[in-house]
Amino acid sequence: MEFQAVVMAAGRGSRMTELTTGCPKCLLPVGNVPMIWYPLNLLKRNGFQEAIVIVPEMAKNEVSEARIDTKVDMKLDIVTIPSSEDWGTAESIRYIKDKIKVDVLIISCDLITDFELHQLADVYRTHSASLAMLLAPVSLSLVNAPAPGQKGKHKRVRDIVGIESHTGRLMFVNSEADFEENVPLRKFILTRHPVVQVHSDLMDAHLYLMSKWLVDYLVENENITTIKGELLPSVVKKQFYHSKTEGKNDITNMKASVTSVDPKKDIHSHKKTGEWYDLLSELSTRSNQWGSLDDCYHGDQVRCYGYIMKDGLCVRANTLGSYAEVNRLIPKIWDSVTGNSERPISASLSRSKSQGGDDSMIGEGTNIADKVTIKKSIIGNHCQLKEKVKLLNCVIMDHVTVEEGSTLQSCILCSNAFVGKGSELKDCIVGQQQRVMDLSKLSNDVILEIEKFIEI
Amino acid sequence: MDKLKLGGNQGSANKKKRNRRAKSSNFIENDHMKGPNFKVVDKTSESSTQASNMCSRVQNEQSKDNKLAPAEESTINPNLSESQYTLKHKKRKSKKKKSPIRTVTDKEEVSMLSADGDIQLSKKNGFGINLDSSGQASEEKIVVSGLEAIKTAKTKVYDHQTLVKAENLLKSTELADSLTGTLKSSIMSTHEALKEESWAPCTGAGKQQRLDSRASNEEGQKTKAQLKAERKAAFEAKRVAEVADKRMSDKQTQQKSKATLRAERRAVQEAQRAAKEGKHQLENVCPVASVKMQEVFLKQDHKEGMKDAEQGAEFSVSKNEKSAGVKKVHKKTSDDPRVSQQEVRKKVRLFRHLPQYHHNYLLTRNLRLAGSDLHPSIIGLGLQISQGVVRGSNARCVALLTALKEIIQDYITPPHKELSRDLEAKIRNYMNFLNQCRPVAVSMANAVKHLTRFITKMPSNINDSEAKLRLCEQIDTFIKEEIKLAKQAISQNAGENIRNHDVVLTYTCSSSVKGALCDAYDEGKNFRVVVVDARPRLDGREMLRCLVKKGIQCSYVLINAVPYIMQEVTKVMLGAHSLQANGYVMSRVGCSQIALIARAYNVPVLVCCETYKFSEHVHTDSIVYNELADPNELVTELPPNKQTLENWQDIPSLYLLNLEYDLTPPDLVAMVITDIGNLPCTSVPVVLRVKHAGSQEV
Repeated sequence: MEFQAVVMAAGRGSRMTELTTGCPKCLLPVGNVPMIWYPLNLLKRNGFQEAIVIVPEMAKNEVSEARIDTKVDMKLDIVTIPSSEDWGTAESIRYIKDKIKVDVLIISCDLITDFELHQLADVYRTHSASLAMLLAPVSLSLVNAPAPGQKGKHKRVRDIVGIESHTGRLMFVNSEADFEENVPLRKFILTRHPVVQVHSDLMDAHLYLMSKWLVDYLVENENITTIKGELLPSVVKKQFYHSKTEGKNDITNMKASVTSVDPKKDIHSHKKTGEWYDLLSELSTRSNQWGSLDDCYHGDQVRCYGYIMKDGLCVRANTLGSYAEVNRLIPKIWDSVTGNSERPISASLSRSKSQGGDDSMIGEGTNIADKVTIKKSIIGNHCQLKEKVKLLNCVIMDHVTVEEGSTLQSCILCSNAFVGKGSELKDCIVGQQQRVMDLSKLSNDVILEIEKFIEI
Repeated sequence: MDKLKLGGNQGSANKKKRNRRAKSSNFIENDHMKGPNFKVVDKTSESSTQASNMCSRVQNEQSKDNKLAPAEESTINPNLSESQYTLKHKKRKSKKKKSPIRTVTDKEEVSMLSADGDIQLSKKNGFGINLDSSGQASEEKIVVSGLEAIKTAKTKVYDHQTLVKAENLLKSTELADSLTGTLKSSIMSTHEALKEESWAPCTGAGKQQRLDSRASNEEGQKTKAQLKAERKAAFEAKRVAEVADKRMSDKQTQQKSKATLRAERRAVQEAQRAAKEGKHQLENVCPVASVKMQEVFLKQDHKEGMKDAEQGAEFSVSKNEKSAGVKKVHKKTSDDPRVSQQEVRKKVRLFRHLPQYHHNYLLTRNLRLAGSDLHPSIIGLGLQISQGVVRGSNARCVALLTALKEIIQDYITPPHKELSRDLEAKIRNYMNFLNQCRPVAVSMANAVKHLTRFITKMPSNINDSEAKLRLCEQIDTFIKEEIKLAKQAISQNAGENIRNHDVVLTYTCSSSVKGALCDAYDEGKNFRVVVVDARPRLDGREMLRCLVKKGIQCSYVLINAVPYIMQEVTKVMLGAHSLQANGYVMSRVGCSQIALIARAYNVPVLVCCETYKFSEHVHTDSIVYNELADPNELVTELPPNKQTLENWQDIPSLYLLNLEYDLTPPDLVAMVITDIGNLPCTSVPVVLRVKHAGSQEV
């Protein structure tokens, strides 16, 4: 086995709390299937037969009830994180360290993409990288998609990525917040890598390939809490600093570096090289740099690479706006992002007098009365849509009832919601089991159970 | 004595066959020498080399003054007597001319001198030269001999016709049709003839035939004009046949079996090539006519190109079907329409038969990230090799062996299977994959051969862990003895040849030369190095980097400055990809040019090569076996932002050829520095025999 897959599904959906109050983030429906189905499907298509799924403890029952493993036909090892802990991604990986035997592929549960994984894997394999990550150009339509229930624009936190364009070697990966006015870059790095492109329009897709030794390193350094925020920037930075003990196979030195608190030394002691590595590098006739007297890769043992998606689609449904937008897009992009998987069963419009287009999806057991108009909407299972209901750009989860003559535009209705007669809702979110009274007219509103909202 | 020497070298039955052929073709060689038409042969082969722009032109020189070389070499190596040298030269010569065709068709051959060039070309087409693989040869033999027969038939028909008549013939389509008939029947007849002949004892019968043919040759001595006409006629006839054949194949494609289809296609290609040859000759003789012909050819070329595309597609498909059962990966990759497109497009004429370069992103496309049939280390290695991260035949070999070691360590024998059999099959599968990434180097093939021999010989009563341990040990000793220590031995031997105030010229980057120069410098020798480099890869920079880092005084020039710089050089040291059994040095393309210039300036050429890279194969030119690298390399490193040739694939008149290797003939090489001493090129068979005997004892 070359890679082990780890699906990070323990996120709390901090940017979409309105929806995650009643439903764990990974099970939020996108195109009538739980969100987590998409990354799992991607893994399945790339030959993974099993995957480790990390979920919060409180969501365990719901996740196992959702029977995702049968849907994707994979063996899922569902690991729960104690609800008392507020763990970052790195801590979660540390928690499952015993299960990790080979290099890992880490994927987030909210990633929906048509990316072909082998392209990233090829970069990783070619350069025997320590870490490879997928970067995708941010699609502005998704970022700027109006989020229902929110006034004003959500401020996006950008990543600043420095990448050597012709090799894909990462120079730095930091969040915008890490820098103040300037983005500093060490001179000696620039001398070695004279062509560095700095991007601020790239999105980290949260798809990483990580070598096994990096996991070991993670285990030893308990102060690292997240992959994206802490591990990644530091490993990328440490590529260029060589271990001081390098080249000396003195046992005392080795010991010192392992027990040392200084991670600078430590990181290099983890990276193992093959027995004949020295001979190989001596024999290699490759020249990969101009005008430098350094060895191959400048003698860097730790190498991080980024792959920038050139075309194709890569979306993370991690904010309200992008969640709503992905749902709108999914009928169109279904085939490409799922590799022509079978669409979830959709009920046909029962009455000819109702209108609905290909840009909509309708779940199983949903009842649609006469003269209903549905446009660009996703409707879950077992919903009741009464007469003369109009839906535009809506996401409606399971067991929702919409009474006669209501008009809903750009709304998200969580499961078991109820909308009374003649209501007009625009850009609203209706929480789980919430009722909207008859003839109410709302826009940009969030209807939630107050206590729960506060708790989160 | 000749036979004895060769026979000792070879064990198996098919090698004996080859021996026989070698001998018989040796006779032919002599016939040529005596025959009145010897000059024509020479010319033909010369023009072919001109066309291919390869180094093999020196063959002619070699055959003329091959008596000079041994004397020079023997001064370097006193261990081998002069007689041995001449003997080896004979052998080499025989190998040069050796091909399955010779035995089959030598009856026609002497009288059919104009076709000689074609025969050589058909050899170059990639078949029949690999003497070890007797399995594949038979089919090609049929094709080639079929062609041969056609040619004879045609020459007989057109022997006394004038040039004008031949041109008229071209137009008459009826005749073309009838010719196709002869083509088919002649294929059949020669096929049968071949069956009988190839197994008949060659010595007696062959001699008789040769005598006959010689007699006929003398009878039919012609004037120069007649010869010209004959050549022209033959060439015209081939064209007619080709046109007819095209039509035929259009009509009957579906009825014919796969084998005949392929045979026909091959025949057409041969005819085309032959036609081209003929054209070259004609140009020398009647320039007016050649202009006319060129016009025709241009048109024909165009058509041909289109047809080639189709053929390529067909060919890849049929290949695919053939190997569908065995090669899973292969099937997957060529299912992709993009692959076939890329492969078919833009094949350079003479190098069509070689596996075309294709991008590696398609290789892994259908490989699973988990639970793939291939071991991850092999996938990684394949990519690294194809991307040039691991480069150089020694490095590739070490990387392969370490990967194999990893595989063996992870290996668990499946239930109901035997370790030796299953592992061998697995390794074969891995090598298939690697071969797709980039054609496997001779060094790698030899190392794997060594390993599989060990695997098959493993006693079946030992348990898995023991077997794995032994295999790993074997790999380690191989790396240590054949590569690491060999490298040290070479640098020691080479060091003895580097004296103070020497100016050593070296070409691109060879790990053994690099090591040798560095070690010599460490010994305190005072010398200067000229590093010659060439586009597109500019590997010489790596050499330069290492030498400069060491503190050696260096100059760096590109290959076009070599004639100038050669004046001050006292020694040329080259690395080698492999050393062929006939003493030809296979090395990075450009080496033969350097050697040739060095000869012109009387500078000795030393080649550093580990003995494990010696090959049993025999090649005499760079066309039969070579490797095509990414043609884009040639255009992408032009001045940045000004890539006028970026879309070269869309320019119909442009073909790019990025060759990897070339062959340097042995008489341009003063000696080969190996781990077992300084040898002449020609001692490859001896070394191989000793090695083979040694491994059999083990």
